[in-house]
Amino acid sequence: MTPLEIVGTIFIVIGCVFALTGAVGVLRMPDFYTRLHPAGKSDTLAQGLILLGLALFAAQSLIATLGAAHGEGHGGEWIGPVNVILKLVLLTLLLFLTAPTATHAIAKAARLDRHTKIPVENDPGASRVAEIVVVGDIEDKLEEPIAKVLDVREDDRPAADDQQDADADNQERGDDDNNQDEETRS
Amino acid sequence: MICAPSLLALTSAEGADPAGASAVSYVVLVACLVLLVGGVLLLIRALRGPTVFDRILAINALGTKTVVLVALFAFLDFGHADPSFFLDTSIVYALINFVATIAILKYIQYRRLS
Repeated sequence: MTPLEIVGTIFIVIGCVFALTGAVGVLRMPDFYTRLHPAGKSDTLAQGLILLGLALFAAQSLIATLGAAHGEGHGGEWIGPVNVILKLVLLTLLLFLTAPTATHAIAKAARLDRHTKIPVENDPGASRVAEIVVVGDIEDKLEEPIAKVLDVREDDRPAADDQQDADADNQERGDDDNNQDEETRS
Repeated sequence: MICAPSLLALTSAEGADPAGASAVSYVVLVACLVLLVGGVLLLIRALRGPTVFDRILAINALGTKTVVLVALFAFLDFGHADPSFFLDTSIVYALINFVATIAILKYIQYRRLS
């Protein structure tokens, strides 16, 4: 094997390792949002490395045809390997653009879907990623752990009831004021 | 599967540069087998996925693997055949994979495609 083919083989082997670990990660990660991680990152890197290795094979073929063309004296054979290399580069750019975009779209669609409950494993400390909420759902801080948030809610419940009663009183007074205003206007 | 490398070695031994072509063919064949194993693992996740988004994620990753697999098929007999047609197929499959993923997500979210 020529040195270019050896380098391409190394790239392909590393890419295959990344592809296999990404597939195992998608199979064995505990919940959906952690499965996004190997599927989105390692697959992108794996296809980049494998297509780069194939491009190096094509470059070796290009060098071989260039040498043969110089020896025989007629050109034109180099257009085939250059075509292959350009198509591989186009494919790499295309996958580098579309694969993370598709992963992002999947993550956002899963987050915005209110009807599908993304299952988290039984241990609440296993992954808290699924507990991140859209702004406006609840008013708790996102960084606090789940148990702490629950304790805070238990302690704040009577205070919240008092606040609600106060709000209700204010609303009644506001209604009375409005009625008085209406009476004075009439 | 066992006879395939020997067949490749035989066909490449008849070519212009027998040693290099057979080595590249072996590397590409092993890469194809590894990607097929990864695709089987992703297919298990797609069949077992608790939510529909797990299935979409696994099928999207499987489509990316298929693109790379078709590009590897092009180089299986690199010294003898022109691999550019397989690469055309691969580019088209990458585009279809992306558009299909977005379309399925849109259909699930809005229950229609318009």
